[in-house]
Order: sequence, then C-alpha cells, then structure tokens
Amino acid sequence: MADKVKNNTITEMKYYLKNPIDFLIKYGLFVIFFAMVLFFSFRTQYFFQFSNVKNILIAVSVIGVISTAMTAAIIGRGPDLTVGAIVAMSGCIVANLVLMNGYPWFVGMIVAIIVGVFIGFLNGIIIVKFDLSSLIVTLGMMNVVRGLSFILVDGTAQFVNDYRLLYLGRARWLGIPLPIIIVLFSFVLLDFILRNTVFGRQVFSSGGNRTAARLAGINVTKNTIILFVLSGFMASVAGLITVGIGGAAMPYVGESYALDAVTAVLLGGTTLAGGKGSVRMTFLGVLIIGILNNGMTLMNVQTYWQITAKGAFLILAIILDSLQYQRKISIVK
Amino acid sequence: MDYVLSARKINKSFGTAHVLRDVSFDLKYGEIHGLLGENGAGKSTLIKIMAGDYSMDSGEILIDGKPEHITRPADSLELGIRVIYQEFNLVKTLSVAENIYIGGMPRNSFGLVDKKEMNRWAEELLAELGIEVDVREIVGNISVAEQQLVEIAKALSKQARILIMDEPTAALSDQETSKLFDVVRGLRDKGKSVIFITHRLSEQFEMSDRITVLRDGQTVGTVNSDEVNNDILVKMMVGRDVGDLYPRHLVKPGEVIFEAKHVSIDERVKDISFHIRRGEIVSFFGLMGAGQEAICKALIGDPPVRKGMLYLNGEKLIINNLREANRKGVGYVSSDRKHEGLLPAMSLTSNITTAAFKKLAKYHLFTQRKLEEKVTQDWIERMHIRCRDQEQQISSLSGGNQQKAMIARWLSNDIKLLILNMPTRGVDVGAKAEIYTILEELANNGVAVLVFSLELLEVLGISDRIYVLCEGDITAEVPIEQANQDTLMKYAVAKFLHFGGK
Repeated sequence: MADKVKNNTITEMKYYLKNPIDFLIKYGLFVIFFAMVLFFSFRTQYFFQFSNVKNILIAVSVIGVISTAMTAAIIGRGPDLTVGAIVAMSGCIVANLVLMNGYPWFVGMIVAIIVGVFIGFLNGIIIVKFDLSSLIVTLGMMNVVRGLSFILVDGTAQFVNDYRLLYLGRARWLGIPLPIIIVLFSFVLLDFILRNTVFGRQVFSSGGNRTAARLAGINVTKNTIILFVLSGFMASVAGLITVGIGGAAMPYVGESYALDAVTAVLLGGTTLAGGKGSVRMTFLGVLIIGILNNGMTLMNVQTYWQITAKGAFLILAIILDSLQYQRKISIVK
Repeated sequence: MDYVLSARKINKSFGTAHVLRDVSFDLKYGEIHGLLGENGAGKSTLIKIMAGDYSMDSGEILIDGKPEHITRPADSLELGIRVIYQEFNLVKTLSVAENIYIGGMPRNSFGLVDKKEMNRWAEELLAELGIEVDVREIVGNISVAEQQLVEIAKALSKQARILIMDEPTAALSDQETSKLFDVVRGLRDKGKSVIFITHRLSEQFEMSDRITVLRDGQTVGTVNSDEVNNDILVKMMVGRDVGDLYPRHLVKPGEVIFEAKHVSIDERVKDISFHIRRGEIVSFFGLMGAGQEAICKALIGDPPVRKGMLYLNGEKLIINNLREANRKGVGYVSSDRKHEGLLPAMSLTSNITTAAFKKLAKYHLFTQRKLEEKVTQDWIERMHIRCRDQEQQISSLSGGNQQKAMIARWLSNDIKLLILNMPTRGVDVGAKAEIYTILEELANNGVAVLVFSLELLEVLGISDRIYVLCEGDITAEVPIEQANQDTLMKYAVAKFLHFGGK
C-alpha cells in the first residue's frame, strides 16, 4: 500500500515536471502563499516577528471563524452571504439588550447567538422548501439583517466598556489571545466534522449530486438546514469576538466579511459547484488574505488597494477552479 | 459510383479510447440504410463525424464520389446532410411554421417576417410530405410524434439529400411509428437517402433496405435486410451467441421473498400485484413510459405507494421515504445514472459507500476511513471494476464500471431488495455480461432482484419470470419457458391494439 502511494507520487511529480501549468493550477495556493511570505519578509522588517504573526492571526480570526462554516456550506449547497450582517447584528443585539435596556451581560450574548442560529435556520428552510439558490436567499437576508442591526442601535455605534462583553476578543489563555484559540478550534472542529462524521461525508455527497444523494437515502433537506444553522452560529460568535476586538457594537461592521470568507474558501480549492473541498485548505486561504492585508499595511499601501487585491484574488480563485475542471474534462474525453 | 455518401477507413479516438477503427460505410441514392450496434459501438460518433460535430483523426468522406472536408456543422449542412437527434432542436414556444423556417423566414417589403407567406410555405411542405399538422399551432402543444415529423420537415426545408435519424421511434406509439415510417418511405421514393438508427430489430427489418452493423468501433459488415434474420444480426452485434452473454442459472426458485399486493401508485398505475421468489430474477418489460419509473420510485417511497401492501420475507414492508428504504435494505439503481446516480466529482470510494456511511460508521456517527476503503476494495475485486485506484474520480471511468459502482453502492449496505431500472444502459458488452453475473449471484444469495428493462434480448436473457407492462398495467406474467420476443411485444402494446389510443 505504501509503495503504491510512493509510486503514485513519483508519477505525479514526473507529470508535473512536464506540465508545469497543471502544477500551478493544482498547487497555486501554496505557490502564492510562499511567494507572499517571501516577498513581505524581504520588503518589511517587522513581518516575520512573533508579534506580527500574532497580529495577523487576530486580524483573520473573525473571517476565519466564518469561513469554517462557509466551507461546509459551499461544499454542501452554496455560499452564505448573510454572515457579515449577522456579525454586525450580534454585536448590536448585545448593545441593545445590555447597554440600552439593562439586561445582564450573559442574556445579551446568549440571545445574540440564538438569533444568529435562527437566521441561519430561516435561510436553510427557505432554500430547501422553495428549492432556491443559496446565493440569492442569503443576499436578501443579508440586507434584512443589516437593516435590523441599524435599527437595534438607532444607527450609531455603541461603545462597550464592560470587560465581560469584551472577553471573547480581549482575553488571553496561557498568554495566547482568545480569538486565536477560537479560530484554531473552529478549524479543527469543522475539519473533523467534515472528514470524520457521517454528517460531514453526507454533506460532500449532497453537494456532489443532490438527487443522487437523496436517492441514496441521505436526508439532504435536514443536512442543508444544519449547514446554514452552523453558518449562522459561527457568524454570531464571530460578531461577539468583533465587539471585543473593536470595543464597540457597530451596525456597519463586516460588510466585506462574506465575500472575504468566500474568497478564502475558493482560494483553498473548494469548488463552487459543490462536493469538493477542505477546511484545512481554507485555513491557508484565510492566511493569504490576512498576510495580504497585513503586508500591505506594513508597506504603507493604502487600504483601498487591499480591497482591489482581494477582488482580484477572488477572480483568480474561480479561474483556477474552472481551469482545474476543464483540464479534468479534457483528460476524461 | 452510385453512392451518395461513402465513409472510408474512419478513425477517431478520445484520449486513450479508440472509438472508431477503420470504419467504412456506403449509402446508396434512394435507400434506407440501417445502422445497428450496441451502446458504445460507435454509432453516434460516426454520425457526429458526418454532421461535423466531431472531426475524424483519419479517413475520408466522399459525397457523390468526391472527397469532401467536413470539419464543422456548416460544412455538413452545405452538403445536404441533416441529422435528427433524439433530443429535438425545436423551440417549444414558437409555432410549427416558425420552427420549420427558423433559419430563414420570408420577409415582406418592410423587412418584417411575412407570416402569411411562411405559413403557406410550411403548409405546402407538410402536404408534400403527407404530414397533417396545423402550421400555426405552438410546438409545445403538439404530440411528441408530431414534433418528430416537424423536425423532419424542418430538416427538409433546406435542400436536404441525406437524412440521418437517431432512434426516431424511441418515444412513439405503434401507430405514430407507422405514420413516421410512411413519411420516411415517401422520402426514399423521392430519391433521398436515409440513415436509420434504432435498436429495435423488427423496425430495421421493416424499414431498411440494407443494414450495417458496428461493434466496438469497427464495421462488422453490411447486409441486405431480406437476406438475414434476427439471430444473424444479434450475433453480428454482440460477436457471440446470445447464450454466452447471459448466464443461465439453474437454481430452483424457492419461497416468495418479496410481494406487492394490489398496489396503487398514481392515476395510471393502479392495483398491480407481483412477487419475487428466492433465487429468481424477475423483470418488468414494457415500452418507454409504461410506468416503470413510477413503480421503481414508489417501491423506495418517493413518493410511497398510495394503496396496497408490500411484503418482504413474510413481513409487512412499510416505506414512507427514501431514508426508510435505505434503512430497510431496499436499493434503487436509476436508469439516469448521470443525474440520479453518480457523484461525478467524487472518488470511487465515496460513490460506493455513500448509501452506507451510517452503517460503516462507529456508533453510526464517526466514519472509519479504513473500513470504507476495505469495503470498496472488496467490491472493486468482486465486481471487476477497472480503475487506477479507489481515489480515482468516478467520472473518468467507463460507463460499465460506473454502473458496477452504482450497484456496489447498494450492496455495501446489506441489500434485501434491489430494483434496477435499465441496468445496462450505456454499458459496453463486456461489462454487461459481468453485471448479469452479479445479479445472478445476488439472486442466488437470497436478494430479491427486480429488473426494469426496455430491451427484449436482455429481459429474455436474464429473467426467470417476466411481467409485461403497458400503460401502467401488468398485461401479462410470462414464465421464461413461454417467453419470446413476439409474445412479450404483443403484451407490451396490448392496450394500444384494443383501444387504438395514443
């Protein structure tokens, strides 16, 4: 068995030496990652310092938490674009209940998470019951939720001083910032769920061919709803982290998060067509976005360029995905 | 020469698959020429080369004895070649006349479409062909058979000399078929040449002047249809006697293991009863759309049977949804492998174990990679699935190997009742024989095997008992000893004969 694997690796390496373009298509993400690390290490003196690595991880923690569930959603059904708005809303719920209406801190946080889960559930139900594209349903829901977020805090950011409300974003465990622990834990958890549980494997099958999965006795409806509930949950947790990091509940926060998460997921090789992808590789995608933002900031590049670069990366990611698909077809035929 | 079209030593490969090898084929002026061969024999590739959809690797095509380069569809049209595919190219929301002249409608002096003139043209054309369809009717409102005729009229509206028809009768009733045949014969008598493709041997005898048989991408031979019989053609098609292809089993059927009593499913399929004995393979034979799909789906609870009762091994079998079917060991191999079976982007392992994830998991929750791989390896060996390794993407396997994986998907889930709809559709001859052997083994091991098929030879070859379906009704139950092509076909059209309906 081990010999077989070795032989395969050797044949593969020979193949890629002859066809470097195929190599770039398949392993482009790693190439980009190392190229960026090298580039920023040489161009800025701070990049490789421990504190900066920590900065990068904290900066990507929110998008990271979101993209774990986003990966699962894209594999099994389709992207969830509501997540950025849920991030904002979960902070605004806390602000509304605790700061503006005097409820205890834990009530605010629990309600925020329940509402996030409920919105995910609503997305899921609408998508499966009316057999709709997740893209459009969650896009509509995004505005619904965003609007409610503004209403909850009367349209202005609410500053938070209560350390208990800031805990998720500011605390350290064993010297490690809590957001980093949460994001790493989310990746391990989702990776395990997708690879090693019946639910996870069924998600892949459902994404690969919904009808076939259904006929094989898989409860595609239930699984799809769970996917969006999971996404809503992760987004509301990400919202609580955001309050902690930013020290405020901001109704306008996270407008780009959904797209950033999708970019990270697709950069990681998960296909929009469904049925294929991995949470591990999404982690690499998230790091690429984090490094891009961080490195450009260190080089004093205007923020606007970061937006442009992220957009270009999203397009690059889907081109690589499509190329991979087309190559496969040509080999099959 | 007296050939309107001659194909000489045509070769075509897709990747490593050599689909056509030195295929030669001659079409006379004013003849109907049958093209016969199993699925995957290369018929459609040959047609597509003539139509300019594919370009050949080597060889040449002569039209009127002159070599011609057909590299794009436009070249083929220019030469007067028209292909009518199984899927029509009609716009359902436009009228018959508009469809016929969609490529070039007559204009009036304002440059607008002259509807009156167009309808007059269409009426003349249809009258000439002996087709009775209202040219003003919207195509979506006319029957499939009429659409077929419109498709022919459309093909002939521009100077057509060679008409290629791919399985034109697949969806037609007997009456409609004979109407179509009249039109096609009329074309021949006017000097047009027709290439006629169908699996139905009887139609080949009825229609074709000559028949060319293809097998595994090679020309086996061309024969005059009045000089051959069924057996000769079948032997030419499969390259061996039918007896070799189908394993004949010798097990005496035991007790009844599955039974459906007075089952009603929808408006058409009402009050049918059938059973399967231990060791038996039972088939349903019928023309396309006789109710096969509805019965298959009802047995797996999608949606469940409305009335009546199912029994498995003496106990009531109640299946309300697909999950329950899976849990209770009822599996369904769909006739539509691409849309209802394959997980195309996924590995062989995932495809084979997808119905059994739960069963193979620890505490029904945590999947066990090793166990899944072992089960898959088992089936790869037992079913002779030819693949590079387990991780190979299933869409890169041949149709036959894909189908074996679809069957293995259920076998890895401890199946008790296996329903197969057209189990050898798009499967090459070699894999066919292997699939039959597997079904045979399953039946011997006590699995209730129920096969739905449109192919007479297959039904006659593998079954111990045959139910014949017509218009949602079981019109006959025939033990294999009494079954032959004529009886089965007679029962399959029984209702059309008595009532003369559609």
